[in-house]
Amino acid sequence: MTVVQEQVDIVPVRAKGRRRSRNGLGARLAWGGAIAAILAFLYLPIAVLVLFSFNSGRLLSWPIQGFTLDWYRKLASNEQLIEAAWNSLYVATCSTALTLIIGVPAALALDRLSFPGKGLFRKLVLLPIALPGIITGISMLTLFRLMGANLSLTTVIIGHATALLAVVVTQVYARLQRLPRSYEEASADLGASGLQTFFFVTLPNIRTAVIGSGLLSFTLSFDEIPVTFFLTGRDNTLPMYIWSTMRRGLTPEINAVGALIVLASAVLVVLSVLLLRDKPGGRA
Amino acid sequence: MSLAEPLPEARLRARRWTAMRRYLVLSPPLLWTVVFMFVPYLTLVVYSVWRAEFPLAVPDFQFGNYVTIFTDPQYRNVFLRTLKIASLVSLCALLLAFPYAYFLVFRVRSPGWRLALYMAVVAPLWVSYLLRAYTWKTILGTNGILNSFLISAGLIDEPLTVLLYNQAAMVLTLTYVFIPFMVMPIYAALEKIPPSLHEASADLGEGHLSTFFKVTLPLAMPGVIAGFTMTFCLSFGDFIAPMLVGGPDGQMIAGVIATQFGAALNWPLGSALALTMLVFILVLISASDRLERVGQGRLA
Amino acid sequence: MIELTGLTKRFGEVVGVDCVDLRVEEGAFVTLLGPSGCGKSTLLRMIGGFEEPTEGTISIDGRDVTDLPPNRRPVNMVFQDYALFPHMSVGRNVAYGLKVSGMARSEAAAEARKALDMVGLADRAEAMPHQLSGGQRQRVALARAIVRHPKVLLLDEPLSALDANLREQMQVELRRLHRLVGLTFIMVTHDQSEALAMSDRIVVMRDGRVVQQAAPSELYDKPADAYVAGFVGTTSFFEGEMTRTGLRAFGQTIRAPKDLAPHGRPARFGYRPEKVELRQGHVADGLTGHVDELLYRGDAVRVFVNVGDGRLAVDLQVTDRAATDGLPRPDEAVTIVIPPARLMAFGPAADKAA
Repeated sequence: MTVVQEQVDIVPVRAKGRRRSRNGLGARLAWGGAIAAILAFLYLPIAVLVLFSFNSGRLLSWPIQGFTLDWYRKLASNEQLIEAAWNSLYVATCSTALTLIIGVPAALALDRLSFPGKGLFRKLVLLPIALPGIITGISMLTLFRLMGANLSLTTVIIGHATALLAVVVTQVYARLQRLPRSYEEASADLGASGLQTFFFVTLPNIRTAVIGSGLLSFTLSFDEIPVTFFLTGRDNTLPMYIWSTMRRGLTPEINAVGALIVLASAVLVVLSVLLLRDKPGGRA
Repeated sequence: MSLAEPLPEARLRARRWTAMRRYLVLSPPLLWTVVFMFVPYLTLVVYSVWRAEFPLAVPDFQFGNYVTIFTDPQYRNVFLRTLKIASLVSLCALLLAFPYAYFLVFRVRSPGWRLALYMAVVAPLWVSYLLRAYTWKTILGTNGILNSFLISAGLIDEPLTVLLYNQAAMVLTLTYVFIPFMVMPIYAALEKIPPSLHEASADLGEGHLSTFFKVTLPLAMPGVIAGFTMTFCLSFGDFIAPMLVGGPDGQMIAGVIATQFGAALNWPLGSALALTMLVFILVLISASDRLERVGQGRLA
Repeated sequence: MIELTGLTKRFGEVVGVDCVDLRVEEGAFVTLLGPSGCGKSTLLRMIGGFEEPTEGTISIDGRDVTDLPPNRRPVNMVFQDYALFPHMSVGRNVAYGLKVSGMARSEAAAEARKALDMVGLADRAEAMPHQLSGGQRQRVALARAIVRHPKVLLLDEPLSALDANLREQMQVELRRLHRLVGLTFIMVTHDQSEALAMSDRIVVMRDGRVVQQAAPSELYDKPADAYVAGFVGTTSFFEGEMTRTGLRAFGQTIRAPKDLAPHGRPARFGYRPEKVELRQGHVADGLTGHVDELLYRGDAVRVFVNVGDGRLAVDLQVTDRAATDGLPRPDEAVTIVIPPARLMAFGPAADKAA
């Protein structure tokens, strides 16, 4: 019975193979079109954003009037904007440092230790990934209000670090899971203390995950609105500033800021890809 | 033979010290999560049972805010609208993301191209969320880029007003913003499917479509569920895009919450709303976790 | 000298290692042998300091190390997966243990080179671990473990990741290294032939307990019980009873030492299939039966013989003569002649453990 079936089966498989190759071009065109459409959907808006930052007309409408760098010149003399950008840089740097300082030990603890309440701890740490930023924002707002703390860039930093902790923890934890525990045991066996083991063996092997998640959390913090919205005092971060301008009206100046941010993001993406490219053989 | 006789005090102390040092690693993150995640949720609970006396929140213990949320049709409508928009966004994102991920995994042969195309979808995550929403506002506006383009191309005479400030614009913008979160898990799930399964299926005489429905789709389900949940939760709680591109009928629940903490200055009601949303999302996440685990069992 | 006293490890309800007492003499090559899950690895990991004993003590040269962390024990380990640090060159891997204890860089490098020389890899110090073959990685792991001159070297299934040809070569290598450095080696393996080939002393474990510890030849010739007899080498088992005239089994009586087992009670007996003789037809003072099946193995043939309601095995060496005309054929009547000294007895017949 099985033998018969096998013989029968060969025929349709072959026929199918031939049909597939005949339809190959059509299928390829259809796939190519669909993928191109999706990519266009993703990148045309960004292209539009950048394009109109060079438009000499004040209105954001077609056709483009002419080429100008005026909007960028205007940016350079916009003190509020520059201050907001510095604030954002400060917030992103501090909160990234904090997420790494807290997130890496958290990932280590989740991977290597067992302790009571570990399940709850894991859930709490990872929650902000799927939780809308607004909840993190207002829950911390209520805390700061009850504590009588004044809202400032410091509260924003704490908020960002909390919301972005999950980014670092998930990436570092995933890497740690792939790291054989025997490396750390071997290091201890060879006489290294806990700190020596961490800095000489563990950290070099999770380096890329730490850098990658640090870069990502920097970018996300730099762009963050929902948490900042509730936790900032009188100081504005860049996205908050852009948003408040945006609600007043659309100007090509925003496009110019946007184009610069796109450029910076592109640099960071390329940087992260280059930095994180695996060295041959090194598993990390 | 030592019959569970107690260890000498000195040895117990030595052991406790070793254990303590291990937990030193744990203390900063543990402290942080307790103080800045656990306690804030508690204060949110506290606020939600307080009373609002404009412009203050007065300590109290009553559930009036919750009663308001569940009886006032205004909130029910906002909730249903948010539900609808988040579902539509997730669905649209799925319809775009699945073919894309499928194409990457099964149709692109060169690993270099695959990485490039994958990065092409994930990279926009690094570009400011605000700007990505903003650019749609400039495109869809009445005097915006799309309208002016269509007019100058002679396709329409009057600017279309149906483009911006409605739910369709919100769905479009949110889909655009959150699509990477759909592609990533689906790609990961598809990539895990051993190619041998496809060959086996072809060997058994299954056609393309039936292989897809019998093999690929069931195995991709965990990724689809994860992506759907993620996209749904993120768009469910968004309040930036509605404010930018949503119209008067576009108010979403997070926007209402933001208003309570802003102009309306009704923190207790805002807290109760936020907690209701939190519980809803937690239920959703744990349900999807369970579904995912059922799905993953199949590839074990 | 290492001394384990009442060493016990419980994982919740499960007992991993159950009250083990063990003394290992200085310079010995001792193997912990047993199937997976018998507790041998846990025992080794407790000596290394990676698992905390629930009860009992470990002392090395008279010093109690039970509560010392791994980095403060005079013990080094060769891990099953070698655990070479992938981001360090071979030389830096080997020098690592010296560097972390504060030795100057140049001195550590020189020591590392010496250790690498000992395993024949002095010229690969600059290589990265992923550039090495499995056998070379194994040697680097060895060099890294001995460079610190530990009192004891622990080896966790050191050869299991190698393929069969390489394995025998590394067995020789390990023996040579053991002689060369004169350290105490404690190895864990589930491979009985590896244990027999390499060790001075074998500790057979089962369900967390030590079943027998003895020199390889003693273990092979005088297994303590049916479990050891079945696990180390092959044993053909049968049931019988000692009588005044000898050992009675399958309704036949053969000669046996008088004190082999208590008289008048059914018991379990056995022999090594290669240590008995197979004769054609019926012969007095042997167990007669019919050939059931033959398994050809190249250097030997295993003959299965149905005797009464039992089935016994006999290994025949394949010499040129036997290969041509000496082999019995299925259904032929044959007799197994067991020299009395080769008979082994294993307590009451009810023990079906093996």
